[in-house]
Amino acid sequence: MENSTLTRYATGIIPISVLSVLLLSALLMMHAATQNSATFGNLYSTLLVINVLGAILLLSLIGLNLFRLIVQYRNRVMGSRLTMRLLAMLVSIAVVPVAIVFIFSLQAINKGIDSWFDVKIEQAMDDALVLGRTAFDTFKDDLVVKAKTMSAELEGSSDALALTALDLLREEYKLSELTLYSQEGRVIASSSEAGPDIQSLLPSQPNKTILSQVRQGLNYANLDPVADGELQLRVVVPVYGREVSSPLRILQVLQQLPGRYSKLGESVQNAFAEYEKLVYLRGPLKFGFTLSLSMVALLTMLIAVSAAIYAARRFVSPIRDLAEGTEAVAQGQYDKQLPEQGHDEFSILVRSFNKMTRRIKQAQSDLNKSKTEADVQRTYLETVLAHLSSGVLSFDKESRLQTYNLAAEQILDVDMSGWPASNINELNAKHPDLSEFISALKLAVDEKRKEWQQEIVIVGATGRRTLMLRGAAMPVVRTKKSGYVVVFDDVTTLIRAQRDAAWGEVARRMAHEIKNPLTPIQLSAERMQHKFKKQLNEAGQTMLERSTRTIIDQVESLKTMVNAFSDYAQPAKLRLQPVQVNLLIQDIVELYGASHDDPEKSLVIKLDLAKNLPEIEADPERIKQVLHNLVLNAAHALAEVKKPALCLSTKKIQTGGADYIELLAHDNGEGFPKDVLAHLFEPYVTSKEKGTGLGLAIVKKIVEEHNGIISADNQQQGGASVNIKLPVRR
Amino acid sequence: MNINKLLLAILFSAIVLGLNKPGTVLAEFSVTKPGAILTDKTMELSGQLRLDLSEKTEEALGKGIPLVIEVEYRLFRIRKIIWDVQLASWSFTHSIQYHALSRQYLVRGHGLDASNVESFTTLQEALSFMGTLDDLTLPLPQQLDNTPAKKNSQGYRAQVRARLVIESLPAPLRPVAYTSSDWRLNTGWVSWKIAP
Repeated sequence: MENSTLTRYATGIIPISVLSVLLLSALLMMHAATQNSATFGNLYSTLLVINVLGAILLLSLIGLNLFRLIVQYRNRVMGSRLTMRLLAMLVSIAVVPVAIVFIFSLQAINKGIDSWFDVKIEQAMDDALVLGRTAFDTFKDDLVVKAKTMSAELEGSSDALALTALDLLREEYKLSELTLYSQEGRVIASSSEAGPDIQSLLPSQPNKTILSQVRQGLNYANLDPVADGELQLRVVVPVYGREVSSPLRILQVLQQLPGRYSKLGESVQNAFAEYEKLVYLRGPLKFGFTLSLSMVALLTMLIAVSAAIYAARRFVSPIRDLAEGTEAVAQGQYDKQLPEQGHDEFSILVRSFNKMTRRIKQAQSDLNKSKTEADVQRTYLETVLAHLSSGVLSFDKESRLQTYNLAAEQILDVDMSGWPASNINELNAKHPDLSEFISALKLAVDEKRKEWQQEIVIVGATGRRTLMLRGAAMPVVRTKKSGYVVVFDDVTTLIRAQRDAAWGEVARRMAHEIKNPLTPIQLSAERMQHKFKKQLNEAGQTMLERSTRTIIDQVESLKTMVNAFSDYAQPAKLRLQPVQVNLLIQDIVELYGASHDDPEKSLVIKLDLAKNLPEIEADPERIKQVLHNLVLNAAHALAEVKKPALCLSTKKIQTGGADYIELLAHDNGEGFPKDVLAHLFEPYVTSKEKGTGLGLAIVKKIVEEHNGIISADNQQQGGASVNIKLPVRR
Repeated sequence: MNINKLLLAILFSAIVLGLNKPGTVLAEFSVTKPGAILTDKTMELSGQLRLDLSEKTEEALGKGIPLVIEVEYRLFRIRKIIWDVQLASWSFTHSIQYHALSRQYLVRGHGLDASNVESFTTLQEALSFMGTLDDLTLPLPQQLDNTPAKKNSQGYRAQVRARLVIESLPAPLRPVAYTSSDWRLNTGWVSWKIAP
């Protein structure tokens, strides 16, 4: 706080202005004093001191300011360079002319002062003085002669008569004052023209030197200036006694010079003295003028420099503010506002700057808001995309993958983390197993079809799957070229479900339309046989019996078939309980102990059951039916095979982070025909002449009712294999 | 004014030292055989001020510039432990001027009569006259306290100082005078004890 106050005092315009005015007044007075002005003459030294101190103060202020400026310059403070340049310019503008004027003025003053003095005038003054002296010497010589005469006349007069004698002599010679002194300088008698008044009660005493000179017998005569500026002649002569033993006396003659002579003499004296003084003072006068002028020049320069510093600071201040402001804006401080002062162009600039930053800030804020909204939208979209069951892929105008979602990865069963920014052609090369999918995409993307839908089938690790693809070109936003978006679903399950539903419907119809008439047909055939058997002959009876038997058998067969369909179509009514799969397998295998008379054709069931297998949550009857169907299916399939063998194995596995019991059934037959394999679990898909064609369809249905997974394949070494996975009970 | 003089003296001291030519004989004012006798009402002085002018000042005097010499006197009662107490002070200014027409040096204001003018044919006589302290009787402002207690004090002390008054010089000469030691003629305070 104190420091800033000090700085304000050091750099403000008011202190410098006040100081400048004071110093300039002091200078004016000093100049007047140099001219011997009576008013300021006494103040000369004070003024000189004030000016010198003022100059020192100014110098200190300037030094302080320059130091600050240099420090700022070194620290690269904004605006210091411009201030420095401006200062240098202003100082050179101010100082150089002053310096030139100073030098020329100094020369002019010196020459001017020298020109006051002239040899002729000096000679004239000397001559006037000599003339004056000569004139007064005539008076003096005359007075000396008179004094000597008077001295001779006084030789005979005693001290007692001296006064009378002096009066007479003074009257006779028209003198101002006559005084007779004893040898020791004591007044014996005195006669004065002025009379005995208080002022001149005592005669003007000759000094000791004069007295001693006269005592030695010498005359003294000289011109004496009197106190009031007048001149008088003083002549002092010895007065000898007539007797040898008489003491020496001394006579002093004072003669006031005539007024005219006195005035002229004084005038000559004064003029000479003044001129001499002036000649003598020439040097000091030059020094004084030089000093004054130097002070004027110095103070002017210092004031100019101070003013330049102030002006430069003042001028640069708004520019510095603006520079700092723009720097701040450049660094992202859009709320930067500068102080608005004054009404000049700078203030207009500052106001414009403030308006600009306000607008930038507003725009920035809007932008941020939009960005936040866009982010929210993006997050929303991403969330939606991530949770969509449909796979979504989007491509840019260069057919490079932009976005994909989790469902897309799951449906295609690939890791897509390396896909983005890859071109569709590159993807095709990388994933030949998806070639059908990618080809369909490529065609649609390349052709930029507006609305497009296609169903394709891909075969991969998870088997044969049907995908429904829908695509659309994205709308063109401004100049940004559009991309392409593809949405696809795995409709395999859906198609299967639809097919299952259709078969269910068929089964129900069959139950309704076929099964119902079967019982009356059977009863009617039995009644017919019973009623007409007795009326017919043996041959007829045989034929009737054969025919009714055929009807009854076929009706029975139809019933069986319809029941099978019914079972297939019926919704599950599971009675779930903990089940040991191995025990169920062993129960079923016992039923099929020796299925054929011919040991060559008897089905051998091998078991490879894992120990300590965990239980599953299942309906044991339904699982038995699964095993039963599998074994039956194998038995039928292996009917023509020598040494038919079916291997049933169980083990615990982990799939997708969950525990499963895997039941694998594989035989040593010919395997599934390839054309059947894809539709193996669909009803009425069978390679056998016998059978309802529902065996494996029911197996699959039951497995799926238990949330299990079933798959079928042919083994490499031959033989069919069916793989069932059932979730372990938790 | 004294402060100004002091400041000026400080300011120009460096210049002064620089301007002093080596070998210049520095004229000085001095006091020889100062003495004083105290009576109840007066102090009678004796002794001589040696007012030797420097070459420069003598030249200036010869050129008609009057020189003013201030002579100051002080009287103190000496005290034992603390500073001496000043009882009285006197100040006289004498001027000396050359009168070219009469070729005489005029001394004004010597003694107690300020209007007194004495003329001398030689400078030496004039200066000697100015410096004479003999028979100078200064009146005391109050009668001396000669009570036994005071009488037993340490006695009295007198001081004298004579100096050339630069401020009385013509203004153009003053800066030169302030910056040159030729013009600084000063005895400084000269003290002596007055016998009781």
